[in-house]
Amino acid sequence: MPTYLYCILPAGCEAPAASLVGVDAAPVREVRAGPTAAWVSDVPDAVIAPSVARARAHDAVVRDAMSRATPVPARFGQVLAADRDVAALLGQRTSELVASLERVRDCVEMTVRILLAAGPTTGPAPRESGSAYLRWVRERQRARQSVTDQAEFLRGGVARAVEDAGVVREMLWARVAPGARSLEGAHLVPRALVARHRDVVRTAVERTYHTKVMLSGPWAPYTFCAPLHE
Amino acid sequence: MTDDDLALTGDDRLVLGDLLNHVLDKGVVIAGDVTISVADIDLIRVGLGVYITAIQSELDHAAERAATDADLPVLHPARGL
Amino acid sequence: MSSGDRVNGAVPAPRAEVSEGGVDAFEAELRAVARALPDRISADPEHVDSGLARLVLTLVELLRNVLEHQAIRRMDGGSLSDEQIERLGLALMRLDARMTEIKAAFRVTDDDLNIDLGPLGRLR
Repeated sequence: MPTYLYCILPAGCEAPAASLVGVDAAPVREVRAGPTAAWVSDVPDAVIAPSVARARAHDAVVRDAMSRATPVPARFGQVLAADRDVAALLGQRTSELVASLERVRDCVEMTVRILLAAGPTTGPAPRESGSAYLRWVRERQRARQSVTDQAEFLRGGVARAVEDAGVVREMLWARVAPGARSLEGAHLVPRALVARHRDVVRTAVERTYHTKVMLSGPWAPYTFCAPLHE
Repeated sequence: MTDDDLALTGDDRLVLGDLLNHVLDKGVVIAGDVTISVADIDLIRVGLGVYITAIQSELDHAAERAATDADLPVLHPARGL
Repeated sequence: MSSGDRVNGAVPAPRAEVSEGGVDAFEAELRAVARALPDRISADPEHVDSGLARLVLTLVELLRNVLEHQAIRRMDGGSLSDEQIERLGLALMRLDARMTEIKAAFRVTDDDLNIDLGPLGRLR
């Protein structure tokens, strides 16, 4: 029976409740191998098509695991042939998984999205001459670059603010492409500091940089963990 | 998204968006990734990865940005082509 | 179980907190996530063609970006005559027009090609 993988926890954590169900309402159980344990459930096929309902179910199981310890979450759709293959995966990657678990221990992921002011707009492309068109392309390139520069400035400022306040363990920022409308970051925040982190980020973004921020979370540390099985 | 999801309020839709973001790992690179069971597309994908890297370096050179990006950790560091 | 694990406990359901007046702006961006969903379901050979078309068009868009950058660099660098600038501009203009036709034929929008390149960032 194909086995769907939700996340990895340190062995010794309390097993999933008998009532916990995951994708397509299948009961969740654990597979242990040495110092780690995987939460899994049975699925009918090796390929599980994503849907909003299934994605929610996946995240709900991962979030339940978070009540035990901060897990290494799997992305959607990781299916192995059977439980023994899950155990084999855990065995093959033990040191990597233990290191990952340690990296995220006691933390949650907060998604930070900061609104960027729109750069100067360029009108529609001129068609009357090649030179005019090329100059228009240059203007558009400059407009995009100004947004990128703004994002860099914001990133530096917010990163400093959260580091100075000691409210993040790690940060990862998305590369900001020309023309982006927001700056996105993933912050690994110790559980006890989530509220303080939120305050520090909002104060920095709203009062110092006069723009808007969206904070979502807490999430399991999806961004800080390598893919488990592809 | 289903119609049910469209009925969500603003904040709920944002949470759903990020949920899908994280769980589905939306940063998966190219359409070819999906057709992974089709052998031909696998080959193109691998080749394309190398090619895209080279192009992006070109773009970075062309934009003549300061090379501080090399020190900047980026999202999804473990995934890559 | 280490004592560190004991302090974990239940984690509240994820919420979004947005600065006043910011929901619409952020929502617009996250709608792109929903668009990613149909692509992932099309894992069967019947949909390979549209996937291939998107792949090819993405490559061409990438190339076009590089060409535009190079053209502007050369223009700014002063190494091009007026006639060369005109010819370059016309060529890029024609390429843009051709891309518009092809995208329309395959019913692919610019947003569809705005594929996240992972660590390399978005194309647009």
